[in-house]
This record gives sequence, C-alpha cells and structure tokens, in this order.
Amino acid sequence: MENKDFHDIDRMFSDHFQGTKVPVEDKEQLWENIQSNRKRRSGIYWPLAGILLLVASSAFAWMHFQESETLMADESFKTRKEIFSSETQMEQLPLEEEKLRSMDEAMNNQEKKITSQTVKRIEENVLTNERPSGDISVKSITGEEQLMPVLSKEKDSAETLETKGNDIGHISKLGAIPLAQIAKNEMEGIHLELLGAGPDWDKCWVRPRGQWFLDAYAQFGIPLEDIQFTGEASGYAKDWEQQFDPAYSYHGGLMIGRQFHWNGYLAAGLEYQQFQTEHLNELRIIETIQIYDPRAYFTVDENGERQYIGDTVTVTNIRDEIERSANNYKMLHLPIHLGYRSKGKYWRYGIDFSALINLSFNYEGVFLRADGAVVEVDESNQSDYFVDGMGTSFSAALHLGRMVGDRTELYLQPRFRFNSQNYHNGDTGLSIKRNFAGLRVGLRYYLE
Amino acid sequence: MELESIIAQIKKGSVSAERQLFDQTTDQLMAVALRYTLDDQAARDVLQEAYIRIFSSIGKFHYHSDGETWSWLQRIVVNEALRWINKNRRWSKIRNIAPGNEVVRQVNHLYRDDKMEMLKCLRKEERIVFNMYAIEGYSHKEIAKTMGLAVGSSRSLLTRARKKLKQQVELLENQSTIPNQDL
Repeated sequence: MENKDFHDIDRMFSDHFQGTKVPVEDKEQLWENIQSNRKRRSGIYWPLAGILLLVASSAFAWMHFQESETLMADESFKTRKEIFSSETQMEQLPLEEEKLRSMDEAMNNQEKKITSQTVKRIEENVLTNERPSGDISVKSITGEEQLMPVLSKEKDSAETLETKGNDIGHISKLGAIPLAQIAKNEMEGIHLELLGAGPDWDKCWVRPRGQWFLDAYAQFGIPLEDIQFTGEASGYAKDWEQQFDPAYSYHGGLMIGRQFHWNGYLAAGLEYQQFQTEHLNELRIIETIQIYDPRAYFTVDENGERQYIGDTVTVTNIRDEIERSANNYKMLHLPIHLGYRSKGKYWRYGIDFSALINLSFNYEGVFLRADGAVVEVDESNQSDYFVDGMGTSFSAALHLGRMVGDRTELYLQPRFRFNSQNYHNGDTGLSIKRNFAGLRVGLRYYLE
Repeated sequence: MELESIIAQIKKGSVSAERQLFDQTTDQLMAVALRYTLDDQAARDVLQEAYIRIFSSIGKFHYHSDGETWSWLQRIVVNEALRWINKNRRWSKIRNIAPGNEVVRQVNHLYRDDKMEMLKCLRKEERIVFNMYAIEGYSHKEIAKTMGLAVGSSRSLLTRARKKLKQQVELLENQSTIPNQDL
C-alpha cells in the first residue's frame, strides 16, 4: 500500500507542477539584466581567460617543484564539478593531467578520517587565509568515503578567496579551501538531515488543529418510568399507573463546541425538553333526552277514539367514556457534552457523553392525589406537588455522521438518558423516576 | 512562432527570437525555480543565470521535439537553482547560521499554490530530492551525483519527503478547511 501511496503522491505533485506557470514581475527588467550581463561577460571573457591561463601556468610550474603538498580532489568535488555541467558546455578551467592523476591516486589510496581538530584547523586557516597541509579524507555520516582536497601552504589573499568562493564549480589553481569548508558544511547538513524529525510544523502550512462548531439537534425519546409510592394509601401507585400514561419526550437544542485535533470534543449549549403524559379519566355519562315528535303520541280508548297523550318522549342514555388530558412537563437544560468523533472524509463515528443540568421546570396538567381527587396544577400550586428543579441527569450515545458539505455534518445518535431524580414533592409520597431512550438527529457546522 | 523555428532563428543570431523564447518560457521556468528556492528574488536570480546559459549554449542544442526542449530548459534552471542553493549554504555558514536552516521568504504574492506551500514543510535536501525525482524525473543515481550524496541517502530523503507530503495532504483533506495562510 505504501508504494502505491507514494506513487500517488509523486503523481499528484508532478501533475500539479507540470506546466505550472508563475507570472514573473517586471519581465522587462529581467530581460534587460540578462542582456547586460551577457554583454559584460562576453566583453571580459577573453582577457580573463588570458590572465587565468597565465596564472595557471605559473601555479603549475610552482607546484610541480613542490614535493610536500599534493592537491587531491575528492569524489564529491569531482561530483560538484559535474553538477554545474549541463549537457551544454560549462566554462571550466582546464586541469593539468598530472594533477588529475594524483587526484585519482589519492582517491584510491587514502583513508584517513577528518577530525574535528582538522576541521577546526581548516576553519581557522580559512579565516587567516593560511592553509594546512597533509592528506585528509572524510568518512561521511552515511559511510561514504570522500576525499578532501589537501590544501597547499600557499597564502592567498582574501580577495582571491572571495573570487574562488564564487567559483565553486571549478578546481582552483591555488587550492581548495572553500571546498573543504563546503564539504564540512555538507557533511554537517547531511548529518542533521538524517537526524531530522517530523515536519517542521512552524513552517508548515497545514497543521493539525481543532475546529469550532455549531450544533443544532432535535431528539425524540420514549420514557421508561419507575413509579413508587411511599405513603400509606394502598393502591395509590397502581391508580397512578392506570390513570397516567407516559407519552413521548421531545428535545431541541443548540450548542457551540470545539473539536480538538485529537478528535475529542467539548460542547455546551441550551436544550429545551417537553415531556407529555396523558391522564386517563373514566367517566359514566348519563344523558336524559326529551324528544319532540311532531306526530305526537295517541292511544286508542275502549270506544275506539284516539286519546292524545303528548308530543315528547324522554330517552335516557348511559355511556362510559375515558377523558384524556395532556400533562406537559417543560424543562430547560444546560447540556455539557464530551465526546470522541473520528474525522473521516465522509463518514464519522464516535461516542458521546453528556450531563444535563436542569435550569427550569414547569408543569401544566392534573395531579392525582392519594385521596383520589384529581386537581389542576399550574404555576401557582406547582411546588405543592413537584420539586423545584430536576437537578442533573446523564446520557450516553453512539454517533454516526455523514458530511453533507465541506463543513456540515448530518448525524444520528441513539441515546440513553439516566435520570435518578424524582419529579414529585416529598410530601406527596410519590416517587417517579424516568429514564429515556431516544434518537437524536442533528446538524453540525464547522466554523473553521 | 513554434519552438523549433524560434531556436533556428536564435542560432542565426536573431535577438527578437531570443526575446520570443524568453517571453514564451519565463513563467513556466519561474515555477521550476520557485520550487527549489522558495524565494522570489532568488528565483529571479536563478532565471537570469539560466537564460544566460541557455542563450550561450543554444548553438550546440539540437531540436528534436518540444518536450525534449522543455526538459533541456528545465534542467538548466534546476542546475542554476542548485548552484544558488550551494552558494546560499556557504553564505549561511560564514554568517554562522546553522546548516540545514533557511530563511523562507514570502513566495510571490501573486502566486498562491497549496502544493507549493506543502513543499515548504520539507527540509531543503528533501525538497530538492523530491523535486528532482518526482517532478523533474531524475534518477536516484543522477540526484546522488548532483548533490554529492550516496544513492541510499537520496532514497531515504525521498521517502521522508513523501511521508511528510502525504501527511500534509491527508491533514488538508480531513480538516476540510480553508488553510491558514499565515506564513
């Protein structure tokens, strides 16, 4: 898989950069610089070539009669010479054959390590324009053997060094101090690179980070009740169970949160919950109806004559009905969510835990007392029958989400809420605890 | 004018043909130079030297196809860019800047490219190797020779560059955000 991934990366960047154009500012100026440089260089080439030839001949003659120092080129130096040779001709200073031969010999035979002492010596000598002598070779960090040029004892002027320093593609006639320094730099550079760690995130453009988000959701839940009665009246809890039928719970909420780069998140907001129960009241209805019939009612007496009785009749209907009334619990909570959500390109999975801190609680409906009376309850007498606040409940959920845009996620969460709080005032003797099982549907919008 | 005829005219000494070649190729070669130097001014310097080399050596160049011609032009720019990098490294040593570090200046403000920005996350050697291997098409042997490395070092630098770029690409995809352009 890795090879394929790497080829994909290569292709991605290659396809992107092939044929890419970057507009050049002030092209005219660039063109003029090119033309003026060309003229300047062609104007000085021949005289410079002549001077260098003269210098080269002098140096060769001098070096030929020096026995103690040998100028060697190392592999990397040779390689560097080739760097700046393209397929076209690069300008190079000609090398004497003897020098080349000695370089080859040195490369094949010498195996001395460069020490930091030697390097320090080189550094000092670079600064003082003097050069140490002796054959030195370098064993690079990668294990590659490289030969360092042995530097001649000849003093040189700073100016010449400067000139030579700009001419790093060529073997200098007078020595190779800058090359030694450069080689050391390269070695150090390589060493550092091999020890390099992960991306330099300070310079990096895309870095792992968190995201703020807004979350809006709706939730539907089914209460699971646990009703108990601690008083003396028998059958009260059973009556309550028979007369009160739990319906459904609806939630709606808005949150703001932060998803961290490690995929955990924290969110808080406001949630409105409305929970309904039905009160079932059995009624026996007796209806007495008087019906007026225009035909009237007659009887026939013994003489065969109709006797008028009347034109109405009373009918009595008896029926049983169940009267249903809705009782509403309205609550406002402060939800605090802590969760983990994987950040896939399209699908997201996770878990969610939350604490719901009840902020307000309001009841409208009826209440069945232990003496059998059904009373209307509202804000004015709510505290006689219900607790003031519901405290804190907890919930847990699984999360399944799908990105429906660059920044929008649609998700489903099957949830279970644990509520150990009793809804009812202790004086009533009634204890009802309600847990909820539900399904949440939400939209999460990432702000950044 | 087509490249073939431009080159033929340049060989005959036509300055206007040189200017035509310059106009047709500058923007694309600038992109190549920027990938190595990450610096506007440096890229201009590289281009300047590259064009001097191109015009001085075009007499020996034989046209075969437009593709080959572009490869030749790009190689010259790459060579000049590497020369600039070597110069810059030596300069940094003299000034006591630790090798391996570099000052990444603002890339051309006219040019914003997410892939270019990702290349900034790479160390200099990693970027050079990746550019040369994946985009320019050099072999590891050629890269090693050019940079004075072992072939194994070239391979490991390439692997590290690829891993870092892959991480960057995945991060960008997963975040699904507009990136932070605060460099």
